[in-house]
Amino acid sequence: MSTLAATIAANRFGLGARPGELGEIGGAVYEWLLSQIKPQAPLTALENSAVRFKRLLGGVENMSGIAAALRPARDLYIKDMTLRTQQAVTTAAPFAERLVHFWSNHFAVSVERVVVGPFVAAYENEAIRPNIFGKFSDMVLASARHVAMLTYLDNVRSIGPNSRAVQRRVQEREQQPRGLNENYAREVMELHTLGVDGGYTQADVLSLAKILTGWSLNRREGGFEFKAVAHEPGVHTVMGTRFADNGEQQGVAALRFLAAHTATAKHIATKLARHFIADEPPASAVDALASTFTRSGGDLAVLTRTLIDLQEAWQPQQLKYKSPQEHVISSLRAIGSRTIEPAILSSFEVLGQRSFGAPSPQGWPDKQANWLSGDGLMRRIEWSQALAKRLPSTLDARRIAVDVLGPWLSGDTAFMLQGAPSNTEALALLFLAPEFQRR
Amino acid sequence: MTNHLDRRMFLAALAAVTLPARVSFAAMPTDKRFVFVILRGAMDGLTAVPPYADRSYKSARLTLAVAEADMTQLDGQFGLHKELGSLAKLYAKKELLVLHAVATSYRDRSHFDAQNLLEGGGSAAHEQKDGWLNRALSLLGGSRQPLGLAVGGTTPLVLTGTTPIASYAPTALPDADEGFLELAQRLMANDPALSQALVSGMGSADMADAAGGNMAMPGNPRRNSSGLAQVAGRMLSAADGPRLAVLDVGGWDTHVGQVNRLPQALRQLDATLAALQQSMSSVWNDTMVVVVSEFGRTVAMNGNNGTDHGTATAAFVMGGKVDGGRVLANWPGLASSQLYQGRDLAPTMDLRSLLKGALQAQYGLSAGEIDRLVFPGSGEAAALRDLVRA
Repeated sequence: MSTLAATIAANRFGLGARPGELGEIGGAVYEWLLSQIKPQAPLTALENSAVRFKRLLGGVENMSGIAAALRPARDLYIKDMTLRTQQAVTTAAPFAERLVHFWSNHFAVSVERVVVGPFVAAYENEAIRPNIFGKFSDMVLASARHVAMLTYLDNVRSIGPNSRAVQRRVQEREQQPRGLNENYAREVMELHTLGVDGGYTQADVLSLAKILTGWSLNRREGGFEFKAVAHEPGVHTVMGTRFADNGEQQGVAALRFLAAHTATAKHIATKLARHFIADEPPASAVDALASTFTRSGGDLAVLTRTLIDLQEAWQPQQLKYKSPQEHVISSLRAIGSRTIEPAILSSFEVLGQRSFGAPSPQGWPDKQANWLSGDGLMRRIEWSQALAKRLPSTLDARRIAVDVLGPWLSGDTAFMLQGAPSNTEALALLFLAPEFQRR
Repeated sequence: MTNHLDRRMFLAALAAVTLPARVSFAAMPTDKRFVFVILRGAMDGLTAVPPYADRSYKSARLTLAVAEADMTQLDGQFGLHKELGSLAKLYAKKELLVLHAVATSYRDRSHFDAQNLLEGGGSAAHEQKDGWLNRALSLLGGSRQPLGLAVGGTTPLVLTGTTPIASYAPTALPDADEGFLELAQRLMANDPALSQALVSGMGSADMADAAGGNMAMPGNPRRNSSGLAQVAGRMLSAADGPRLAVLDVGGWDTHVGQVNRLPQALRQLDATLAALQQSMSSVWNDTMVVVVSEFGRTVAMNGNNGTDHGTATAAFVMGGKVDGGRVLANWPGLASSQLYQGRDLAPTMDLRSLLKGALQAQYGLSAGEIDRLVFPGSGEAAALRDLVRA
């Protein structure tokens, strides 16, 4: 008989139990989670972003060239997302994988900007995955320097009004030299670090935008390049702190300052507690996470250990309603899928959560009110039935239910599965059981 | 064999559950329709409704200024961008009212907080945990069928709350079998939130089928708002259908290359509103459509031929009885000394005045009810009068 703790570990901290997983965890629940908190390497199966950039866009200058170069982008996106989904469905370290998803959604980039599409998987793989148990500030910097983020939030286009690049163009009487773009500077404060109530002003946004001018791309070779010629000269002040004019290091210092701010600690703590505990997380949990964040200097391994030590994260009630992505992945894990067909990717889209397709830089929401609607549930029902119809009749829904839901499986649901008109219906009902739709 | 017995017990248990009616309707509490269209991302009101007579317009906007050849002149002071051709026709028929220099009470520049305030309807972002339209629904009187309809996927905050609502988005998935839905209902019976969502979902699926919503709708629904508007319009037109709906039209956050990108968004908006108007023609005289954005954009161009987050912008009201054919604006001017914080169109009308006036005109809600329940703390924003013709 599986313990409640193992069930919570696999389904709330992990991505949903695979058959046999609860047994493997056994009584060593903490050990199972702790063993996943270790440095993560990028997946080797995904193409490196700089290599791909050079292959697709190296030396391309004009808009029609970019459009032509991006023609294979959809196929690349499908290939990348198949790999990503396969990794989530088959991994034996699903807690670490959940954190990869959590952080890449926190630092969201979206294929709503078409040009970002070929780089979103690489972004998660290069900027997020290696840093989930590293320093938070390193994740901020890696995100800031990645081609996906530089492009998605326009920093690649931001040029200091008094930079040498602009001065030269003015001399050459070019009519409208490009200039400052505050899009990334605003979102890095509002969404990635301080949070919207973090105490910054419009003037701070402007200062940070100036500081980050020159953070750009090497358009021939791919990859990050600091372009001193586009950098706005001068000392700039952000939230009362002055940052000396020392080129790229000015931005590094400002981003590290924001990453270490107490408002950032609170913001990150709230989002983490919301993801693992409840839509409106208890203040005690948020405070504990925030103080660990600050005390450890934003060490995410230490923060993650505090998270699994929180009593509130182990409460037996299933307060979180799974997003479509979580529901699809946990369903595929429950039936023990080993290989992912690209066709399964359309699941995310029809259920309203296309992979890396968030409608805004805010990323996907993380509350029941955002995902549980009449229409959303109808589609989840239709999807569950469509999936069940494709599954072999050898899969026994009743056994899987016991195997993945452990003590969460209610008598009522067991009764329904037992009495279902066919095994296909029983499997679909399993995916739709309240204890399976929640975690 | 026990399996057989279990199945009989199971069927008996199932029969004992009362299934909510899917097709029978009580009398509807109102025939008035209201559609709230949110332009998420901040629409540049100075392009959609160019104030061409303002002496500073051209100098403040430079290449962003709309040429007089590219607009329909409305009243000697304001124009409509040429991509808003259907709206211009409605204006000529006096069924479109244009408002300008409007804003919520929000004065910072976060899309997400501004939308939260616009939809929550309080006096500060995150003050209200549910949406003002949902609270307004609670005042309309009981109905067995949800009166509110969310279109296009997730439920927006403005419709979130204690009053059940329906939601609709097109899907490529095959319908679930009828018998299976009954099983699913039984399965979720002990989870109130899931049960409630399921009842609402089954109801709207029927309505959408009746409205032709199962026709294939290829592509990204966020980009196909005119198709969604058409199905929503048909659902709203049904005698026993929903009465209030919320639609999103996106593409407004023009930080880069605004001159190329904004006309596309305007064309999309025009097509969406035209589809809505056309599909609601049988109830057009009972209909009011209010179109707003969370804030406007900077008056001056940024460094990328785009604009950044600003403050006041334009809004639209349309409908068969709307007292249209005019522009309602207390114009603040575009000279640099007249701008809000030296950069944005200054707000001179509180958006809540429009929304409160719309609720009064459409549903006869009293000012007291509105101030207490729908827009708490909005006393200083008096409801606009005369939005509809007598």
